[in-house]
Amino acid sequence: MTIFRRAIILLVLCIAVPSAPAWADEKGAAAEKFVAGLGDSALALVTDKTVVGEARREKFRMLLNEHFDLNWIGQFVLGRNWRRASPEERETYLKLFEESIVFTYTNQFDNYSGQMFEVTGSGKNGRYTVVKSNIVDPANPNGNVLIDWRLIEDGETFRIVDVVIEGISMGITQRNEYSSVIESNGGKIAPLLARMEEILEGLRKRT
Amino acid sequence: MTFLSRIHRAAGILFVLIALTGCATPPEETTAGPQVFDPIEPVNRLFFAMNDTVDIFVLQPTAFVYKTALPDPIQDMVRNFLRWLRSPVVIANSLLQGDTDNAGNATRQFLVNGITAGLIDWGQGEDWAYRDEDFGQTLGVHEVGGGPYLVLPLLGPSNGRDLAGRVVDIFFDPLTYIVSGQGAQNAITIGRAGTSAVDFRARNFDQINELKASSLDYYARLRSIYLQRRDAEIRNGEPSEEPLTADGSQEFEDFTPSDRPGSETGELPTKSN
Repeated sequence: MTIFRRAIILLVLCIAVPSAPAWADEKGAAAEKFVAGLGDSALALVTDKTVVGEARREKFRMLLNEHFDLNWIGQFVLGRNWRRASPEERETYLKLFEESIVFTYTNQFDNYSGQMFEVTGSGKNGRYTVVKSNIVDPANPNGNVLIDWRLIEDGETFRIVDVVIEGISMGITQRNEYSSVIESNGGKIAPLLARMEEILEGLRKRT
Repeated sequence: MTFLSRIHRAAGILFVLIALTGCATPPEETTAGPQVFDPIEPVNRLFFAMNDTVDIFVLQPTAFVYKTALPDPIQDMVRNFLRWLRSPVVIANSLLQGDTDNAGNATRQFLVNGITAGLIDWGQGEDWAYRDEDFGQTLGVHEVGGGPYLVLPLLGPSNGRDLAGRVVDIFFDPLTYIVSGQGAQNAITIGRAGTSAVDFRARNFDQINELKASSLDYYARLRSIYLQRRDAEIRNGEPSEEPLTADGSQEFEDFTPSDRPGSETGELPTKSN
């Protein structure tokens, strides 16, 4: 490497460093660590064959509440219909919402077949920090699944408010779906809750 | 004659579709939420229900037998061959999108995998791995909107743009010109579509069943997934250049839940944590 080249690199570094404030790097690194930590805990839970049934669901529920802002997500999914819901409906809704997530995901645990989770980077998106990650399947080199995590700062730590799998946002998907159910029932919330209860019952039977 | 009439028919369909896509401008969105434009929803739901019946009684049993009876390497060969057959379409569309990298990769796939009759994918896990492109995506890259959401009989979710894309892709496919005779062409089209469907269903067997089981409104959920997925494919998985639209980020930017200051969404229940 010539001295000239080295000088250019130094110059570029000098310009680049002040424009990327250190706090942003720190925040990104903390967010990446937060998601990696979730990945480790989730994988430990999935592969632990001694914890099953309700005990496993309880552990998953704790993990979920530690890492996700379920109030946020639940309200986002209900969208403008949140305002129309009565306090009782809101409470029932948030409970059903959490239970549906618990059963949907724990029911899938037994499909696990050696995939690995790796965090690949992070960036800022408006008020949010987005952490990028990859699910790698050693049995299928082309089968990587890209997952983006949308995080909001919560005091000292973070909370996840959305998960985007291969470009498909879970929050948006459920918001679209729920609003369709509410609209087809004349804008009422109660039929949505009844339907959620019905689906949850089905998921309970599939455990 | 048969070939010419086929072209005429396809051109006619294409014209209607483009007219449909062009005229049908989505209504002004008054409320927050991603653009779901579904003007013929009752018709779509009818086709959707028919397709779901086909899924339950034909596709699922076939896919189950396929994935249980055939060893994994054979299943991979089936998929590799289907993808290899698509290479010319991928090359054409990559070029039309100005993506010479992917056009080069698809050409390499076509030539290298061609040595083993397309049955083995030598590019798997390499930097020239397969990435699908179709004319619907090409239109999307050139900023053509999706148009109305459509559910096609047997073929499933689509929209005005992607249906037009399907028709155009027929013309990019050398098999359209190589194979003569209406009967043989139809047999190939049906065979390819059917095998693709079985392969896709077999690979995602449990996931699709779970998706169905956990859906409050399976139609609405798949519609949302289809529209978001196509947007992501058009961007080749890259984040949107205007970071506040396609993945719904605008929705997130505008949103504050009720337990945060400055919220407009109303109160949380007192008991909730």
